[in-house]
Amino acid sequence: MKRLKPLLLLFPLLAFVIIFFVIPVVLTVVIAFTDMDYSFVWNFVGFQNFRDISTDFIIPRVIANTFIYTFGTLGLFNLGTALLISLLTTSISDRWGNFFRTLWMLPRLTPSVVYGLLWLWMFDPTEYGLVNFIRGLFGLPPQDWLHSAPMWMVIFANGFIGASMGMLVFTAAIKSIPEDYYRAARIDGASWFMVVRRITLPLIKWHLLFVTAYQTLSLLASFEYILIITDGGPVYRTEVWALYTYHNAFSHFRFGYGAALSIILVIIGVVSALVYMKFFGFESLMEKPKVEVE
Amino acid sequence: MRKLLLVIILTIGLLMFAEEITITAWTVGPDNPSYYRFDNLKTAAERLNKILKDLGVDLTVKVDGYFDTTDWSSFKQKVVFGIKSGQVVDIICSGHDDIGAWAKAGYIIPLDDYVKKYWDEEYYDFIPSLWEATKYKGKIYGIPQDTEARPFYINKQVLKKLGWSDEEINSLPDRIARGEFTFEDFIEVAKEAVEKGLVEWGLYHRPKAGIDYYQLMISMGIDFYDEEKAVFVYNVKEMKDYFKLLYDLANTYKILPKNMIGTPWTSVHKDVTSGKVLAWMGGTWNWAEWKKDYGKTEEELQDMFILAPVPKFKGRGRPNTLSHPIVYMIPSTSKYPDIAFLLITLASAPELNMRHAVESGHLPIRWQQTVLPEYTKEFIMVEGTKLLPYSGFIPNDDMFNLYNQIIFEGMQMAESGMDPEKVAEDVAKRLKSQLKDRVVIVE
Repeated sequence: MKRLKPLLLLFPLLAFVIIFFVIPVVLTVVIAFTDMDYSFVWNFVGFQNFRDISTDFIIPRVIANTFIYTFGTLGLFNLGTALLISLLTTSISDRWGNFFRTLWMLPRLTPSVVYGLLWLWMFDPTEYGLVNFIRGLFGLPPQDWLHSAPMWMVIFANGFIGASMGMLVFTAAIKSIPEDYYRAARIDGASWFMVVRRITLPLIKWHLLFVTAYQTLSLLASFEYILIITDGGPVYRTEVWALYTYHNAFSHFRFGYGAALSIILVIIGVVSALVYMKFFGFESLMEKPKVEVE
Repeated sequence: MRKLLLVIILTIGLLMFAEEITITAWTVGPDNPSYYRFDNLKTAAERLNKILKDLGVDLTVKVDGYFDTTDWSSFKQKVVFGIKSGQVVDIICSGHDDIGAWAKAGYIIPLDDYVKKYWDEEYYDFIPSLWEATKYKGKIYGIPQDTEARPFYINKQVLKKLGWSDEEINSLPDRIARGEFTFEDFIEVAKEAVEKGLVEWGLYHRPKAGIDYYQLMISMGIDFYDEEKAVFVYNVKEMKDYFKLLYDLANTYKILPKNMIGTPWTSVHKDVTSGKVLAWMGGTWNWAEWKKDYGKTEEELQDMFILAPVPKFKGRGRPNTLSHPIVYMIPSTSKYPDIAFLLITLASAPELNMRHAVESGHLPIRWQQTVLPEYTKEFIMVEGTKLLPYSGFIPNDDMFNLYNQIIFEGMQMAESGMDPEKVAEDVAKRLKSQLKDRVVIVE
């Protein structure tokens, strides 16, 4: 009974993970080797789906879009803006810091469909869109950014939400740095920039690793805002891998092909995580300390 | 009628132990004014319940379900996943083009025996050509709910400003129908109108995937389906011409916006009804939408537009329109297919179908409707019916949705400025890769 107790306590979570994660993953892998469509027939076709992916002329565009979208959003917002906001808001009074951090949380609190529709209405290409209406007040003609700069639109739309997660993690990490380091640096005459570069950033290295790896995987798998705002268009200019998988599986009812696409995405995600961990020296984080403290 | 009544009583009699039967119906718009697709079933249930009450049968039939106004893709997803997951649904109202896939997958049941049973009372006067759109491998799988035509709406005020006389304007639909005014002629008029600043654009077409653009293929004489062998035909040379046309409209003649595909529907309708566009490849249902959702009056619309088939090209093709009948189908998961069919039959009463046609800008499905007073009063109905002789249907093939998606992708590429010859070749590769032996590529 004593041995079973930990298992019994873990069982609800294990059951949840098995039912909602492990089984779907296994099913997806199996379906990837079928040509399952709207008829839901399990017809095994070996590696045909993967061969079709290799000859699909849309794939190079999808890969390029995925790379630009993921690293563009990550660099500019999920990492860049998040870090900037957390550094700035921890450099001012707590009251104002909390105020600005709360403002940045608002997009994340908005339901995704509402958020996406708001972007569509704001950037409607006619004079009826909010931004074009304001431009009209200054005598400027309407602009169609959704067609002329669709990738920027989805990067910005996702970025305004993505920045908040990193902002929370980095803020907590910065606030946990002992104040003594900053006092010592200020006494030595270090500027704000020097303090950030020499003290703050090195001490939040693992948080940077976590946010980078987590957000990369999250961006690789996310597509809901792109679906609502541009639906991968115009002409595949914002079609990322995850959305292409969704379109093939759920719009064209090509479940076998969609499953094959999603497996490749999983492989890319795992490889990305391993590369990050190597780059950030994850092994040294997990090493046993060389100094024993009694 | 007596026979129908008897059948009702006998059918219900078998279920006398039930006090209330719920018939679930999933119906699509997605245009808002088509709500009678669902409401007519509720009215049918009310009429059936009155008959049952009068006959002392202790049974009530209730209609449950919804009228979907999201979009075609979302509705079809809901239907496929709903049926496959075992959800109880008794009636589905969707496009006839779904019959091919859903019949092949066993999601819907053939209705020939039902139609035969009620033929003399009800179905004899359905417009005969509509039955072709309801068949898959020779069997009927749907009951026509409505049909429409896809007119070439031309802004006659713009033609007037170009110096056209009333006689030239009024005779234009007939000249198009006779093949005397071709699509090439239209392009010249559109270029003139844009150059003179009378309109911003010469032509708009639908901004999302659909079937309207097949009209241009038919106008060019392109045959894309072999009915006998049930395969799609993709003639690379002809399709290079087709994609070149789209490329030229947007990039060479500049009478079609390069970003046409993906423009929000609201922007399209606002531009068309405010006179910014010379011609719109739309549908008869747009007339009702413009009145209901865009504040246009009947007089304003009649002053603005003439309706014609899509013109043919010089030396090839034919003037044409496409119809896309909506049909009622009965899923294989229905617990009460007999009652579901009764409700569909009652919902197809001439006066009920007419109120749907008037409200939503669709056309009659029964000859009896053409003698109702509402028919001659409705301009769009009369003008739309004139187009029906030029009408065709898209094939009821289970691979049509996939074929259509790939063609639409090619259209987007051509209009955005990609080399049309390369587009035609890439589309051929994609079709072969995804449709495999269901498409014949002709070089």
